[in-house]
Amino acid sequence: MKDISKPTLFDFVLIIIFLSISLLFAYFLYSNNFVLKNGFVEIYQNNQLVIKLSLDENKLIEFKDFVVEIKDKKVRMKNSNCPYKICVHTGWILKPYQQIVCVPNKVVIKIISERNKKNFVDSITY
Amino acid sequence: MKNKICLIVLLFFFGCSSKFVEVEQTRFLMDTICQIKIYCESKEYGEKVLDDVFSEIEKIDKQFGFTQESEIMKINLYAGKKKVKVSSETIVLIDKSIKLSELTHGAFDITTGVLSNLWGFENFSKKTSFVVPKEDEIKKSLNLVGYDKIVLDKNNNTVFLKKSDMKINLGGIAKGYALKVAKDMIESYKIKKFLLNFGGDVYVKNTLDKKPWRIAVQHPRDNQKFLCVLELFNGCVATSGDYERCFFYNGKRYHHIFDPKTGYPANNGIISVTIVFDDPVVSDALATAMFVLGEEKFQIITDKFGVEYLIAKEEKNKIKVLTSKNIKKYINERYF
Repeated sequence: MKDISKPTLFDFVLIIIFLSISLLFAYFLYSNNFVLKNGFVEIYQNNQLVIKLSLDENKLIEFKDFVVEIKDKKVRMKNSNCPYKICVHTGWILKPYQQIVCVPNKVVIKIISERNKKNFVDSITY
Repeated sequence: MKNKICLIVLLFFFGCSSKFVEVEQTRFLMDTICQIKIYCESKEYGEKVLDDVFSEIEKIDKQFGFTQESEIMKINLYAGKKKVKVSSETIVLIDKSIKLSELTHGAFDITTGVLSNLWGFENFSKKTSFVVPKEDEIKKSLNLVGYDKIVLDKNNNTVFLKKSDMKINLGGIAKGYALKVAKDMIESYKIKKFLLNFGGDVYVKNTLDKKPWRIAVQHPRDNQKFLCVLELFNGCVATSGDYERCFFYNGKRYHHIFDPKTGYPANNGIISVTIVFDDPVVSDALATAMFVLGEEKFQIITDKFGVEYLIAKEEKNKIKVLTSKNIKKYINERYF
C-alpha cells in the first residue's frame, strides 16, 4: 500500500503551480499597470463638465480646439491647437487617477473612480 | 435595551457619514491648473466658498503674474529707474523671498526672472518654440541676477531694482503663497476637510473617511508611473522637477529651474525633489533650492528646516532615489 502521508513530486509541482497563479493574480491586482474595468472619462473645459463617456467604447470626439480619442479602455488627446502641445505629448492615460491637462484651452480629461478602490490616489505631485 | 443601543449607534454613524458632500472645482490660474476639493454641508455652500477662494487666487495671479497690471511687471518695468509703490502683500512676499535666498545661500533667487525671460520660460504654456540663448547673452544676464540688488522699503511699501533690465519672477514662491491664502480662506469658512493642488504642489487637511490622503509622486521620466504614493492627513507636498516645464534642443533637455550662479538650468544629476513640510509658501521655494544645490549641498536646507524629502537622480539613464529617514513613515507604495 502507498504511503500517502509523504509528499510526492506531483504535490510539489501542484504547489508551485498554485503559488505561481497566486503571484500572477497578486501582480495584476497590485501592479502599477492596473487597468480600470467599466471606467468613465470626464472632459471638462473652463471648469464645466462637457461630456462623460464610457471607456468601453472606442470613439473619436472632435471639439472646436482639440480632438480626444478613446481606444482599448485608454484615452488620449489626439490633437490640439495649443502652442506646445504638452497635452498631446502626455499620451494615453488609463489609470483611475490620471488626467490630461491643456492649460491654453483650459481642458482637463480625467478618468474617474471611487476613493475606496485599490490603487486609488487622491492627487499627484509633480 | 440592547437593540435600542445598537440602533442609536447605527443612526449616529450613518448620520455622520451622510453629513458632508464633496465639492470640487478646477481653474486655470498662474499659468497652471489649480484644483480644490472640499467636504462641506451643502453643495451650494461649497460652490460659493470655492468661487470666493478662486476669486482671491485670481487677484494673486494678477498681482504676481505676467499680466500688464501685475505689480511685479511694474517693478520690472522701472528697474534701474525708480522705486515702485506696491501692496503690502507684495512687500511681504518679496521680503520672504529675500530671506529664503539668504537661508539657501542664494540657491533660491527671484532675480533669476531675467534668465526665465531669456530662455523663454515666461508664459511657458503660450510658447510654440524654444532656443538655447548664446553664451555671451547668458553671461551678460548674470550681471542682472542677485537678490542683494533688490531694495525694499518696508515703511513706504516700495521696491527698487538696482540695475535696469533686471527682472524678478515669483514663480518659485507664488504657487506656495496662493496655497496658503486658499488654505486660510477655506479654514475661515469653518471647512475642516480639504485638498488643494496648485500646479503639482499639494496641501491636505483631514479626510472624510479617517483614511489618510494618498498623494502620488510623479515618476520624472515616465508619466505613466509613480515613484511612490505618500499617505498623510495634514501638510504640504511640493515637487520641483526638470520634466514639466522643459524643452528639448539638439536632443538635450533644458528646464526652468536655473542655477543663479551659472545662468543655465541646474545640472547636477537631480531631476526631481519632493518635500513634505507644514508651510506651503516655504515648501515650494525649498524644493527649488534643493534642486539647485544638488546632492552635495542640499543638506544645508534639510538641516536648517527639518524637511522630509525624496530626491530622484539620473545616473547613466538610471534613476536613483535618495530619501530622508522620516519620509518612510509617509510612503505607502514604492516603485523605486
